[in-house]
Amino acid sequence: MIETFIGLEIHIQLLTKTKIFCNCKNEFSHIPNTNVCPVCMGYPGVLPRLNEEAVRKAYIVCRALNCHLNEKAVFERKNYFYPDLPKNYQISQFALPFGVNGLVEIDGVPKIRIHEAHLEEDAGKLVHEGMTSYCDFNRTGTPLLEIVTEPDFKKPEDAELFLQNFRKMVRYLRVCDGNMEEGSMRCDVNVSVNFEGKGLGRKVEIKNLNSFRHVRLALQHEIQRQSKMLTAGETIVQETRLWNDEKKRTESMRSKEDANDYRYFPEPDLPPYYPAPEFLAAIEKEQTELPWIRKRRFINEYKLADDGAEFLTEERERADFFEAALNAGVSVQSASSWMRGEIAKGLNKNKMSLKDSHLTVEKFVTLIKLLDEGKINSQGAKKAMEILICEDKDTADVIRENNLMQMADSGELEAVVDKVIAGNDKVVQQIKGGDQKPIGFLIGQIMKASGGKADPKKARELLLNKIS
Amino acid sequence: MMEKEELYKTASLARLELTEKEADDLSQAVSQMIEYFSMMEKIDVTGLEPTTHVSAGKNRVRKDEIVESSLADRMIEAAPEHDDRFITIPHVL
Repeated sequence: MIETFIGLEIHIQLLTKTKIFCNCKNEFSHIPNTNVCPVCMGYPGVLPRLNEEAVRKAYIVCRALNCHLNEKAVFERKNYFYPDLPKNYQISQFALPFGVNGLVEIDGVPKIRIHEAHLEEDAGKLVHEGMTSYCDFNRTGTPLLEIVTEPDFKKPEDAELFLQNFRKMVRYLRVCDGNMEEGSMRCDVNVSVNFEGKGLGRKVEIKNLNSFRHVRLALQHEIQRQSKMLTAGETIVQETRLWNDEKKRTESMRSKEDANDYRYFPEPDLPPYYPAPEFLAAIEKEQTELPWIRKRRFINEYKLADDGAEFLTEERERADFFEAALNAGVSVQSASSWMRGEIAKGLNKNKMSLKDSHLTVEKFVTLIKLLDEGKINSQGAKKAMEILICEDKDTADVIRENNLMQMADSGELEAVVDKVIAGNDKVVQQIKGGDQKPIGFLIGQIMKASGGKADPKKARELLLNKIS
Repeated sequence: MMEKEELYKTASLARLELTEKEADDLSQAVSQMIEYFSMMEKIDVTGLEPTTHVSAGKNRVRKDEIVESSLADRMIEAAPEHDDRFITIPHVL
């Protein structure tokens, strides 16, 4: 039997206004080399100054990952020559990072130990074309938190599920937008195989993974490749490989034999960081129920099915909306079916998230109350919801302006029913003859004639009374 | 005496090219430096926390506020080669 060991290295760009060591805008720009200054460009004589917001967000993540927070953290220079960093070194943390020895427990994934979480600066972006490389330093100095797990994953699917939850977590914590396509969240994996009981094998690192799917596919391919070699008695080379998505395989990038010697040493321009008790207390306040824990609670507390709880806890705003609606008296059934149905549909149609739509919990609760009281019917409520999502209006105004009130006056409804009976004599005779099927058709006609304002239940009662 | 191979490795990490003669001269000088370090290494430092900084204080942070720099255009102009706003260099992997 062959055992597999998978570890992840996750990089997240922190959501700050400015870069980590200078006051340049931390913002993606299509125009190359706009957000640059002497500090991030490594001009002589400049002094890096640490962004307190980057520190705060880094600690929020360390804490959420149950890391031990080092009493003293030290920035170090990681020396390497590559044109994506003009300083010729990257300021990172090495011996004393912010957080070490964390633990994450997600349902459906084995317990994952976190080796460390350290804060560093992102490098610039190089575009290679023909004989030229094009340098854009806008990204240079973006605050980057690197989270390294222990090789505790046994299956590619576990790694994928972990990453999906991890992304939800950083979004819940509001520290990173988690966009893998744009590179604000990136992941490298390392994987080794060995005969059972023999411990870790020789580690191979895989880069160039731009989606969770790529992570899974690359791991599946690599495990197969290594297992074959192991069984055949071949030697697996410790190296870095790249995922080639077109060919669906990993390819050798560089061998680790002449592994980079980064010659780390403490960054003399940045003093050590000692998290103060009051700072840590503030970090504690920023903690929020993590997505997988909230999902489990939704299943237990609200008796939701797995997929329903998964949907409702996908985003923190969605879960908050749901629970606020329940607090305001909406039933679990009603809130969850509206959120998964009409609300999701409307948001999708307008390519909006709950956060940037005009819908608020108050508007939703008012709508459901009117529906429950029979003031509007479900057709009218659906129509109102469409408008509430994309226009900044009160529920009451939307209903009035669009004439969505249900016919409260039974006289008015009776007149419509009479009209429909009179105009559909043949069908009426059919029903009188014992054929129940066309009843639905007549109700439809009544709804249409009332402009959607009739109460279908009352209309049915009236109709049947009159026909029989 | 420092192994020449070691010296070449160190030079290549710093992207320095050494002639045979430079390597000969340097290996002696560098060996001497390394000897000094080995003298220091003999000192008993048990129980001492490594000193990373002498007087830089601690927790020096700044507010997360944007200050625009005027460097961008001047930097591009000063680069030996550029293509529009990209700084261009010979192809590197």
